[in-house]
Order: sequence, then C-alpha cells, then structure tokens
Amino acid sequence: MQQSVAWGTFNRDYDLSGLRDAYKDENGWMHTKENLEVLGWPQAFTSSNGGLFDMLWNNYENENLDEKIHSITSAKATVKFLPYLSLRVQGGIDYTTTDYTKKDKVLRKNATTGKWEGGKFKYDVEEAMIQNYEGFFTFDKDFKNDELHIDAFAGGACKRFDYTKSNAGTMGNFIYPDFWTINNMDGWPDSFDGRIADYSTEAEATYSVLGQAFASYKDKYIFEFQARNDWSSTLPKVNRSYFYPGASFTWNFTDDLKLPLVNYGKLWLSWANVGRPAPRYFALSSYNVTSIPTYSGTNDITPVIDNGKAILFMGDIKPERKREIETGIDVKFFEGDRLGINLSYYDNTVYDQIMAVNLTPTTGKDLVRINAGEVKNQGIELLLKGLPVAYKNFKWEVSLSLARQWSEVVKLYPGIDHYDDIQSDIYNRAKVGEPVGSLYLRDYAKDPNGNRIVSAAGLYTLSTESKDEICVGNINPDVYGGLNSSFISHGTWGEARLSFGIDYKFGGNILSYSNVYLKGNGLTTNSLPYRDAEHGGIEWTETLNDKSTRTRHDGLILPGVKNIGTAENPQYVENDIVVSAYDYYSSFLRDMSTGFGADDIQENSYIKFREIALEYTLPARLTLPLKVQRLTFGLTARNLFYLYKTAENIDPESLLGTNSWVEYTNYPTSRTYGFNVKITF
Amino acid sequence: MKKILYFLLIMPLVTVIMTSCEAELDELWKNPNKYVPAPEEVTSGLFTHIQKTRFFQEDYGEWWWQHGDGTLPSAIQITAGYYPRADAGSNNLYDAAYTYTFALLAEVEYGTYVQTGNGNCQNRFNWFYTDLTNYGDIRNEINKLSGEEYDNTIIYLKLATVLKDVVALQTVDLFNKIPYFSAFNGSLGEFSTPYDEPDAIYKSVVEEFRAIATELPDIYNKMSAVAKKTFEQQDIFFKGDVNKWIKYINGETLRACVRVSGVTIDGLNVNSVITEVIGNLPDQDYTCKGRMTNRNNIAGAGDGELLTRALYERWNRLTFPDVMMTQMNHGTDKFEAGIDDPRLPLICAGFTPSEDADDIEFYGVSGDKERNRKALLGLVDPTSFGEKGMRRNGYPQKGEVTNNCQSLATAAGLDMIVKGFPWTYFNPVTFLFTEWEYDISTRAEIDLLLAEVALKGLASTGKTAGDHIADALTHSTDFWYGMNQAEWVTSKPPTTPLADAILRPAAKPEASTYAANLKDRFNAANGEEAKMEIIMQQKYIHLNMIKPYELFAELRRTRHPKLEPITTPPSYTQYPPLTGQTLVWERFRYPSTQISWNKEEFIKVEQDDNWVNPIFWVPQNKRSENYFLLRAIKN
Repeated sequence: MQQSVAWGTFNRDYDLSGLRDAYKDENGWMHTKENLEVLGWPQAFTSSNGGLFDMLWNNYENENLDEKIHSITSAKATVKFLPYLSLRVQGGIDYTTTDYTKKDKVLRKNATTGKWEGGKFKYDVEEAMIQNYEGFFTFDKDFKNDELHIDAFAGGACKRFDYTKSNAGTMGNFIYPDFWTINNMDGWPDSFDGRIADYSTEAEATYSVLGQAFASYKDKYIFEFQARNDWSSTLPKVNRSYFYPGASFTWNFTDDLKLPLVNYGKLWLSWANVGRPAPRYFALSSYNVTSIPTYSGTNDITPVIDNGKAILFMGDIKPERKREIETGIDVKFFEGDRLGINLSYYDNTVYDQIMAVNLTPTTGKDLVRINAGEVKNQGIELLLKGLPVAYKNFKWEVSLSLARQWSEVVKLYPGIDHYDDIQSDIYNRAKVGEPVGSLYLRDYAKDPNGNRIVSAAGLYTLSTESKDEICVGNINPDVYGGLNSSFISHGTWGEARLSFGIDYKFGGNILSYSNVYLKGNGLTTNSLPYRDAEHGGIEWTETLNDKSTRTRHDGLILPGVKNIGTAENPQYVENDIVVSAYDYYSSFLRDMSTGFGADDIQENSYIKFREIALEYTLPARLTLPLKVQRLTFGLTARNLFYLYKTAENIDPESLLGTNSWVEYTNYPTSRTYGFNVKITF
Repeated sequence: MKKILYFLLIMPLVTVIMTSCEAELDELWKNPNKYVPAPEEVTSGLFTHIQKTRFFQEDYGEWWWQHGDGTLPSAIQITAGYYPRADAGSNNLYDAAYTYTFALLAEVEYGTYVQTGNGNCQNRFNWFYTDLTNYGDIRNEINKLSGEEYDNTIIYLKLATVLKDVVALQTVDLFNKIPYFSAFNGSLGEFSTPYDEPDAIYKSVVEEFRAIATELPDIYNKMSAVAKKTFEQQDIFFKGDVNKWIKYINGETLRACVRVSGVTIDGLNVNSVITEVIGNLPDQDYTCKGRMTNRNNIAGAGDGELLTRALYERWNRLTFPDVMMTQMNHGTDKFEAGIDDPRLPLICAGFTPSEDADDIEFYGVSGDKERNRKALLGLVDPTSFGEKGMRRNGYPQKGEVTNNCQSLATAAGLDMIVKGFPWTYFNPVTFLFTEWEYDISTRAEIDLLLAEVALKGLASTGKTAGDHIADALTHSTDFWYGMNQAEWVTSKPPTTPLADAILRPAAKPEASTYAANLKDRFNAANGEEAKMEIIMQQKYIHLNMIKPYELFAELRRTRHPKLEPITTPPSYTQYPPLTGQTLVWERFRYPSTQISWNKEEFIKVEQDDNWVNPIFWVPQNKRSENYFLLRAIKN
C-alpha cells in the first residue's frame, strides 16, 4: 500500500473504510479481476499481486495460525571437595516447536467449469533445540588476612543446536471449499515441488575448554585472566580448534588519589583476542543433486549455490578473530555521587573476517567464501550521569550517552581490490585505506569545467565512465546516543516515577526510494517548483501530435550545459533546453534511466522521542501484608515522534535491515502504548 | 582423601568425553540436506547440467525476455513485435509493429532503453561464465584423478570444453573482447580476469575443436564398459554416440570458420580447416528432449516452470514480418503449393476467409506502419476497432483469466486462430502445443553454411551453392514438419478438423518444386551479394525464433537480409522515421558488474564499451554498409 502511494498508483484521497467489503460479490466470493475492472476499480485495487482488494481478501478471509510451545529446563549439581574447591555441573535444554497453519479460502466457483478456484492449505512444523552442558571446577579463597582474594574456575562446556523443519501443503485449486487437508487438491503437479512437501534438518555443536582467574588485592588492584579453546563443527577440521585469551587490570584509585570533589574513581585496561566460527555449513563445499524428469536415471549435479549465485570455496576457512584493547575511567563527583563520568576508548581489529565476497562472474563463480579481510575500529563511548535535584522525597536523574566510531579497511583478501555491496546501483564499498561504509555511485555527466551536461531532452544523465565514480557519503553515523531522564518522588503514599528517553543519531547517508518516488509523482511539496508560473515555471510552447501548439507555464531550464558538437568532439554551451515540470519530475520515477544520482542521497540524522513512562508503586505497608514486596503500575508509550529529522516523509529507522542504506517504502516502526503491572514477591 | 579420589576419577572421564566429541564434530560438519556424490557421479552430473543450461535449452524466462518490449527478435525483424493496429498514429512506442531499438538514433537517448529492454542479451555475458560454471568444477575434479578414474572421466572435460567454447564464441559475437583464457580460474585464486582479443579466442577455439574431435575416439575407447554406460545415460544430447559428437564439433568448427572468413587471423587458415571438416559434418537434425514434458501444461495451475509458456504470454509480439513473409508467400496473399514456401503453413498460422483448409492466407507485417494501418482497414471491419471490439488476439483467451495458459484449454481453441484475426502469427501448434525437441544443430544450417563456402570458394564442397540452397530448403522443411508433427502436449487445446488441417497438416508439404525454383532464383541472382541475400533470407526463415542470437551475428557479419526501414505516419512525432539510418547497434555493452568486480581489467577495454564498434569478424567493406532497404518491401 505504501508503495502504491509512493509510486502514484493509489490516490491518497480514497475513503478506505468505505471499501471494506467491495472485493466480494453477492456470494461472498472474490470478484474476478475482470469484474472489478468492469465495475470501474483502478489497477491499484484489482492487481492480483499486492492490490488493495487482494490485501483485504488476505487479511479478512484467509487464516494464518502460529502455535508455539517453548520449554526451558535445567539442572545443576555442586560437589564441594574442599571449602574453597568445588565442582559445579549443570545442563539445560531449550526446546521450541512451532506449528504454522495456513488456510486460504477458495476464491470463487467458476461458472464455466463448475470448479472451485483458489484455496490453499499448508502445515509447517519447526523444531529447535539448544542443549547446554557445563562442568567447572571452582576455586574461591582469601589470602593474607583477606587482603588478597582469588576466584577462579576451569572446566569444559558443550553447546549443541538442532533444527528441523518440515511442511506439507496443497498446490493448485481446491476440490472442496473449507476442507483443510492435503488431499484437497484438484490435480497434482507433474514433478515434485518443494511447495507440496519438504523436509530439512540442521545441527551444529561447539565444545569448549575454558578458565578464568580473578585476583583482587585490597579491592584496589584487580587482575583478571581468561583463556578459552573452542572446537566448532561449522569449521573445517584443520581449523576447528581456536584459542582465545584475555586479560584486564583495574585500579580503584579512590583511596590512593585524593582528588577534590571526587568520591569514587577507577581506571581499567583490558585486552582480548576472541574468536568466532563460521555460520552453519557456510564453509562446506557441497553439491545439489537432482534428476531430469524426461531423462529417467540421469543425474543433474551443480555445486551448491547461494541465492542463485555460484560459490567458490577457497581452502579451509579459519575462525574470525577480533583483537581489542580497551581503556576507560569511571569517576563520580560530589557528595551523593551527583555527577558521574564514564569514558572509555577502544581499539579493535577484526581480522580473518568470514564472509562471502562478490567476484566477477568471469572467474566462473559469483561469490567466494573466504576469510576476507581486516577492519580496524576505534571508538569512544561517554556516559554522563547527573543528579541535578536530590531532596529527601524527590530527585531528578539524568543521563546522556554518546558514542563515536572510526572504522577503516586495513586489508582485503589477496587479489581482491575492493568489495562492493550493491543496492540500487549504489556501492557500499570496502577498500583498503578507506572508511567502512563508503557509498559510491556514478557522478553526473559533466563538462571539463565541472558543469552538468544535459541530454537532448534537457535532463541530467549520469556519466558512463567508471572514472567518474564518486564517494557520496557513508552509511555509518558520525555520532549517536541518547538522553534519559527520570523524576522520582516518594512518600507515605508510595513512589511515583516519570521518565522519558530521547535517542539521537547524526550523520549517515541513505537512499530513500519513497522520497524519490513521491517527488517523481508530484505528491510532495518539493515537487511544486516550476509547476506553474506562480511557482517559477517559465512559459514555453508545446507542439502536439497534430502539429498544433499550445502555451504552457511549467517549463524549467536545468543549470548546466548542453553539447552542440558531436560525441567525439563535444562543444558545450549553456543549456537553454526547456523541459516541462512533468518531464523533469518524471525523470525521478525512472531513476534517471541510468541509476540514482548524488542528489538522491540524503543525510539521515534524527532526534527521536523514544519513550515516556509513568509508574506508581504502592507503599510497602499496603503490600507486605499480602506477601508482596513491591507492586507497581505503569503506563508507557514508545516510538512517539521525531523532534528533528533530515529525511522528510519517512521513518528514518525503517530501513531494510541493519546497516542498510536503502529505504524502500517500508512500514515505520510501530508506536506502542502499554499498561503494565509489576509484582515482586 | 575420599574427595580427592573422586577428583582423580573425574579427570580421566572428562578426557574421554572430550575425545569422543571429535567424532560428533566430524559428523555435524556434514550437511545432512546435501547428498555427497561419488567421484564418478560428480563429473558426469556436472556435465549433464551444462547440457540443460539456457544456452542449449531455452527456458520460460529466456523466451519471455526475448519477446519482451524492444528486445532482439523484433529489433532485427525476426518477429514483427506488437500486432499492428489501425490507430498506429499514436505516439505509444509499442502499439504498432516493430520497435526502434535496432537502429538507434542517439546512443545517449536510446542506449539505456536498449540495455533495459535487452537485459537478456547483456546478461549473456555473465551467464556464459556462471551457467558454464560446471566447466571449471569438472576441470578441478579431473585434475584430482589419475589412472583408470581419469580415463573414465576425461571425456566429460573434453566435451564440456566443447560446449564452453560454443558459448564462448556466442559471447564474443555479442561483446567482441571477453575474458577467455583466464576465465573460470577463480579456484586458482585469479579474481581479476583480463579481456582477450576476440580473434585469438576464435583461433584457439577452432584449434581446440579440431584437437578434441581428433582425440575423442581414443578417449572413448579407453573408457570401461560401465563408464561408457554412464556416459550414454548422462549425455542427453547424443546418448554417448561419439561419432555424433565429432560431427557436431565439426559443424561448429565450420560455423566458426565461416564467421571469420571475411577477416584475416594470424595462424588460422580457415579454408584448410573447412576442408578438413567438410567430409564429416552433421548429416541429420540433432535435437534433444527438454528437461520437462508438458511444456505448456495448459490445463495445469498456470504458474509452473513451463518452457514455452513465455510464447503464449507474449502472443501479441509474435506477428510475422514481411522480411520473411515476402520470401515465403509469393504472388497473392493466398498459399499456393509449389509457388509458396512449403514451410509457410508450418511456421505461420494461416487464416481462412472461407473456412476451407485449402483456402488460407498470410499477411506479413510491414515496416511501414501506415501500410499496416491501411491493410488492416481492408481486412477487418473498421467499426470493430478498439480494445474491446476487435478480436485482436490470435491466441485466444478466456474472459476472466487472461494471460494464463490454463485459459487456452477452455477457450474457443485453435479454430478461433484460423478463423479469427487475419494478421499472421507464428503457428501456435508448432511453437506451443507440441513437445518439440530442442535443436542442437540442424542440417539446414549446415547446408546454408556450405552454400556460402561454395559461393565464396572457401573450400570444395562437392556441390554448387545452388544445390546447397535446395538441400537447405528440403532439410528445413523436414525439420519444421517434424516440429509441427511432434506429440501434442498432454492437454492440448480444443481443436477442429479445419484448424487441424491448417495448423497441423496431415501430409508434409511438397518441397521439391519450390526447392528447384529457389535454386533457379539463387543461380539467377546477380553477383555474390545478391546470392548472399538469398542465403541469409533462408537462414532467417529456417532459424527464425529458435536461434535469434545466431541470426543477429550473421546479420551483422553479412549485412543480409536487408531489413525494412521503420516508417511512421506524419503524426507520429515521438520517434522519427529511420529511413536511411545505418545500424549503430553493433554490439552489447558489458554488464555494470564488470566495472565493480573486474575493474582493473575492465578499464583496459572501457573505450570499446559502446553500442557502435563492430565485432572483429565484420569485414572492412561491410562496416559502413546500410542494413536497411530504402523503403518497405510492399507499398
């Protein structure tokens, strides 16, 4: 529906509530597309693929039922050998089974054939089980008159994941309406089809030996060491085992350094090198095996593909690693810790990244699954906590967070110059020495002086030369964080808390299809210029098919130059070609015919009023007699509104997945209101 | 002490447990959803898959795209594009016959349209490498083998090389320079592939064809009996018949040599190569069954993988052009045996004004839109014009379910086609409703290549060019009659004796008289160019929709047959007439992915990445030759 509006195929003025039952005929059957057209409904209503009536039929007539059973069980046992030495063994099973039942009603009875049309029954079952088993020896003892405390554990762990999915469903038309069984099929396809029945199962496991030691001297100097070795089933045998260590040191300087106004302070420094296995079966080269129906007994084998793309497996994939060093300071000022500052800096390098990298198909493959490259990230995180007002019965808490990260591609796999993730002809490019998330596209065709060249139609085009690729932004934000604040009051009547949260993000670029199409269809105010004389349109004369002419007042001349020479020997003069506002804006609908231009890339910054909550807690004297420690009633509202945003007409957060830079008429995030009751016994 | 004893007992137990985990990890590493084929199954299965790729068996998508808006067949006048309408004065690009895409007025204005409309053509660059990806995998598998295993499987690599080379040359024919010698080497760590000179590719392929054709018998003889049986099972083209493979390879060698015969390639003497292969060329039509039966499955759900369903869905693009019709239907519009081409009722759908199977007429679509409009006014009641009133669809549709194969089964059926709208479409029985087999290589193609060899004296064929033309007509008639008479699809549409007699004639049309006339006409043609015009006209008629890319290549190489200029009524203002325009669409542009993923090499050929540079095999004296007649064939 949103797309229909953006694409201009659906008029926003329709009274949707009046259309509630218009898709059905007098029998309660779905009108045929032709009947609807005879009735005068436009295509946006009648299309069998996403039209309004199709959507209404699905919503009101068809049934999709999901049933989930989720059980979590665990057991734990501890054997104490010595007062400071124990063995702790524990295991847990997390089991989920989900049934999906789809019941699509028959659409109608065909008057010519006497048969029912439509109908679908499908039943899917998914089972997922996660098993965790651990066994640790624990050590916990104080030395030197309790000045030295050592706490450690070492042991093994096992985690296994099993997943099975099966389904069965009908294809083609039903024989009988509302008869929900697989046998209710009018015909059977000539060959097996996964939409009728399918089964797949997957599993993986990780075994670990790990240990950690924690040593604290006078609670001032704290040392921590970790060591872990994993064996993962998703990695090839030669690289299945990987070790990752870590260490940290914390200095609580509160008593050692008597700084003015400082109540508490600590510094820390940590280092770790962690590992990560590959996704399940990602590193395994295998084959798809089928048969050819018309050639009985003939094998048809292809190497396994990924979304239609041929995959190249280059040797044995290693685990992905991340080496990180982090330091920080945590300081609290003034009596009652009225001000707190927590500042940290990190520097990490992700190397041996496990990923699928696009290849030129001329290599014979589309993707290569490798340990692709190395990325360096540096960042700061700042958290300010304040208590501006603190009375006996009332206080106001406020916190402000801020994060910033700088990332750079350090190394790519030998033979790969850069890696592009392409969406809508815009490249998210990883190139050595450049920031991660750089967006590239073709610049506008320009003359040697940098003026944009218009085509014979008077419109801009993109350059056709690869040298004209330009960086137009970066998908990552410059800075992001949030502001949270709470007002808390309590007395004999209980406690009340009013809190709100604001999130912000500055920087980061996107392509908004909605805005491009809304502008192209003349649905937003930024398409008003040039549409008439009042809005700057210039007068021009149009020649009609019958050679007659008419005067219009919706002309514009795009700034730039036109070529009055030849393609080989261009001669550029100032552009004087008048185009109509209609043709100008229509060019946005065709993505300029050659792809999106730099003008279509927007900054996506915003400040969002994320949440507001009001809570009331009854006084304990009322709840304790009921054996209730705490009873709280609350009202919440989330995703309320934007205080500021640079991308108009869209929800800045409704992009396609994480790290995406394309907004494609997605639904905005839901605004939710809630009432909750919290009971603590 | 007791607790310490427990401790000492537990430690070995933990060790045993951890060791046993290794076996489980080994098991879980495997994907239970994937079968692990045995080594001998891998190479044969990979090879079979190459034979069913879209380069050898067009599928639904391939046909559908080929007959979309502004795509290759209508651009080079194999089809006439959209059906003609009486109101052809409209500025709508599509509502009258033909599209403008072949003769471009301005690259900048039309280039993108061509690229979009002909996405399938441009995609063939990537498809060469990705559809033939199994070639690289077979090579890698074979490299691991030795001894008997090698002897039993090397044949798959040799034949995969042949198929890869056939497609490589087709790709050169569309793009000129392509990565070839370093292609398929991703597994060797070569992620950047240089573009190779097209003449070097042709030379290498011809040499490779010759070498493989020569060594195949020995390779086959070394295979074990079981391996030969597997080969017979897996080779869906020739059922393990090595002799047919050799003939096929020789036929492709002949095609390649004729293609480059107008230019000089260092180290390649095409005349001597042709002489070597000319004695062992295909002597029958090589066809193979598609991978699915019921290719139209018109009584089915209508949304399966239906191979030529695309033609049904593109019915309104499948009108027949005058470029071919005027070479088949001579004299009057009526079909006259002996005077008219015997393939006419097999390839085209006849119309009977008198409901008499012996009284059928054919109307080709002109490049002159005004002529089409006037002709239409003489054929159809003008008052019935319009979207609703005129029965405009030669491929009938049921009212409430349009463009669905299923609808045809319950519609008026084939009778409506022969009695309905008179404009000539391709014959739906031949192209839609029979389980015809895919052509691998047809005998008439070889005849027409030999005709050119004889005409230009490239080698001694033992016959005159005129004899080869007559042979081509006879063999082509056999081929198209076979296509027309193939088994009906399971759920054929309703038909009548009248429709059957016209669209699926019981007896093969007599061809010898017309063949003799054609030979006489050829012999009487004045000069080599006039004779080449007839050879290429026959190539157009024979191959028509089944090999558009071959025709596109031959058209650019020979500049024959001459196409009709697209002329429009004066009121047609959006796209001016193209009279006198020369062809500027000589090649396809490289896909944009090359810029992104093969940039280092792509920038070396970027200057060639345009629509106008001829393929290397276009002779110098042909490069500026106009593709178009001065005016439409019929006034």
